[in-house]
Amino acid sequence: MLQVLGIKRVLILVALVSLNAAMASANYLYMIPQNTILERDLRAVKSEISGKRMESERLRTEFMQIQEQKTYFEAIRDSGFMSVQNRLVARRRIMDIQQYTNVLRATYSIDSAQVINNEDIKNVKHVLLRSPITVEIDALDDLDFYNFIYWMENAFSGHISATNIKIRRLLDINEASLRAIGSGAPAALISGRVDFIWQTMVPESDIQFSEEFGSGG
Amino acid sequence: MPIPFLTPVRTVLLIGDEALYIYKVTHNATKFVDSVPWQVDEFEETVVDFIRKDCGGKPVLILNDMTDQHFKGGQRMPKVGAMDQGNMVKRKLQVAFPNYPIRGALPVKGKDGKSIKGKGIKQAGGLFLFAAVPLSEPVVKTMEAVRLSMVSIAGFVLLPVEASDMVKALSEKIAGRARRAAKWVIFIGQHQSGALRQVITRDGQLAMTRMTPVFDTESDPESWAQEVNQEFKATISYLSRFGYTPEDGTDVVVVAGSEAGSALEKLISVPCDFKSFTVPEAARLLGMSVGLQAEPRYAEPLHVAWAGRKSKFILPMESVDITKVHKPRQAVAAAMFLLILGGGFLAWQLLGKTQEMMMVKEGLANQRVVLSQAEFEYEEEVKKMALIGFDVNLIRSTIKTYEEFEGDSIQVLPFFKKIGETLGNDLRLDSFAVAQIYDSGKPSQRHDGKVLEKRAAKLEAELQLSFPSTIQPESGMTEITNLASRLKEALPDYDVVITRQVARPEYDQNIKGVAGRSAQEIASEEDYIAKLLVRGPK
Repeated sequence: MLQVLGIKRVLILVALVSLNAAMASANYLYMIPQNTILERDLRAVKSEISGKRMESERLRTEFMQIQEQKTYFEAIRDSGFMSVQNRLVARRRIMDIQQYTNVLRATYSIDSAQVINNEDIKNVKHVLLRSPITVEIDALDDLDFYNFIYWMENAFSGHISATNIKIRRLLDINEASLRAIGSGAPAALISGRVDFIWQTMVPESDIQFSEEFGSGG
Repeated sequence: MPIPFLTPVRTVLLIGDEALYIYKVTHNATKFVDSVPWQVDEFEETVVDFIRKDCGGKPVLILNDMTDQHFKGGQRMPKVGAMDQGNMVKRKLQVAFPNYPIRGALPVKGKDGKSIKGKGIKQAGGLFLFAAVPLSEPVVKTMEAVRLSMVSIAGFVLLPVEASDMVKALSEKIAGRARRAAKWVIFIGQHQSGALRQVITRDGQLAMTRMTPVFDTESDPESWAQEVNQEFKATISYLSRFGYTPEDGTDVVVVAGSEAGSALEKLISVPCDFKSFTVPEAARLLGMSVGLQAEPRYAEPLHVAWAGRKSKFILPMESVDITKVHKPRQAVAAAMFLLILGGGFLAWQLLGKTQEMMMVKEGLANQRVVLSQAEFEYEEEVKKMALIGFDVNLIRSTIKTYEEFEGDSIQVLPFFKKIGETLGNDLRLDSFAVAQIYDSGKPSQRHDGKVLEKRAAKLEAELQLSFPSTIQPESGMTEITNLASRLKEALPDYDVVITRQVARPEYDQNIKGVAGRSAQEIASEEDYIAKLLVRGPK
């Protein structure tokens, strides 16, 4: 066969086959797989860039929101919402409100606080303290009564809201009642009872601390 | 007409009776290289030298112009399947020429150019012209030289057969648009060996060929013309046996010197259209260029140029010797062609992929820079968040919890204010009870110490009023009804129900009494207390 084809032809054929094989190998064993890897890397990097940018944007937006929320949070915190419901402070505050609103008498009872685990604040290691408050009020005027409720809801430490209100007129304004008032005797014209719920949010550690020293609630 | 740049460049070995004539055919020239007599010593080596050195090792076309060529026309094939036709033709050829190993078969075509099939015989497959060449010493020597030269073989063909379409083309060119080409065309040309080659075609196909020795001199055109005329007459005489009549129309094309051609034209008495050309003139008419020819009166360069530039031959001859050399070389040439094509494609692909890789790498590098910028920006934002000084989650949870408490609280004071406005100056409440409820109407469950209910808070208020006994019950009832209407108007989202009307007129009440008593007694028994229930918002 070599005599028919000649060495030159055979060599050229072998060279062509080798060249083709080399180029095919370079193409299919290196270039194409390598390109696939590089393209995958490129897609991954682009995806990472997109993710980082979205995350940055989210943080930027959050930062602005948090700046606004921070002021609100500070106001809530300053209102005593994050206090441990100090009974001494509460007593003094009710006395202040009684004097300010001119109700004749405010007989109050504050039950011991319940510690409530709330899912929403569990992740920040806080719990809720919830204390029922009952106030029996005697007043000359129903306006004083309402004022008392208003200031309890707005000047008391933490979050407080009325759940039950009963108000009753004891006496009519007549000559006898006016005379009694004029003589300086404390004549209540209005009597009522208000149930409040007093709620605050405190760190778990504060509660544990209080419980360890037997002064919880 | 061949396309110049696609015209194959070949070495044409013209096998004559006296010698082997070597030509080099390119797209614009047909160059006579040399002739090698058959008796010369080291014939093969000499020819190999010419093929390799003078002709550049180009593929070789062997053009047989020997006298010893055998034809058998009108060979009818039995009708067989397309798959068997080749074998059938081969067998028939072998039977027709058992002693001549170089053979070929050409389907005979009709006037319409289609092969003639089954004319008159139902089972007939078609008519063929069989041709064969003996394995003479010149052929053997030529084949050996080609084998030794290692060049490719483009084909082994017979000059008269391959010249038949040239003759037809010349006839058509001569006829032009003025008239139809003649049925019979007689091409006459003298070769270097002194032999006169006549190729006669009928309807464009080879009908007959003759090769006869004639007197060869340029100095006596008259004598040459007389001698050629004699041969021409003999040819006409032969043609009569093939059905030739002068009425069919005849073109006579002669390749000769101008004087000899003119002399011959005067001598020819047969009615015909006579044309005489030199080789370059005839080539020009055919749209070819043969270049400068030393002896333009010899017809070989025209035949060589025509056959040498063909991409497809009319009748490629086959033999074991030719196939043994030709097929492997042809296969290798085809393989090389495919490998070059494949290599081209792979190179193109490799280049494309390399460019793609460069671009992707560049893109990746750019994107990595962008990523580092994005990471830097992200880190900056994280730092800013860290500088807030608060636990973000604590802020959010605190606000969320506080707002939930706010949403769960009833706004009693605005409600009181509305009630007070609705009562006006004439009515007053004895008692007023407000409780937070939920949709079920049950009181708030906020004291149970469990998680707060998420439903919107509602309130339920009970208003109690009393009227002095001095008024008529109907007046009190009217007042209460009006009050209920005013409350509904002031608190459109609330349900207002009179649960206890003045003087208890409700149908579900049990009553007892004594008629005939004084008005004062009656008044003391009347009930002047009314109650309304307000619930909402809806």
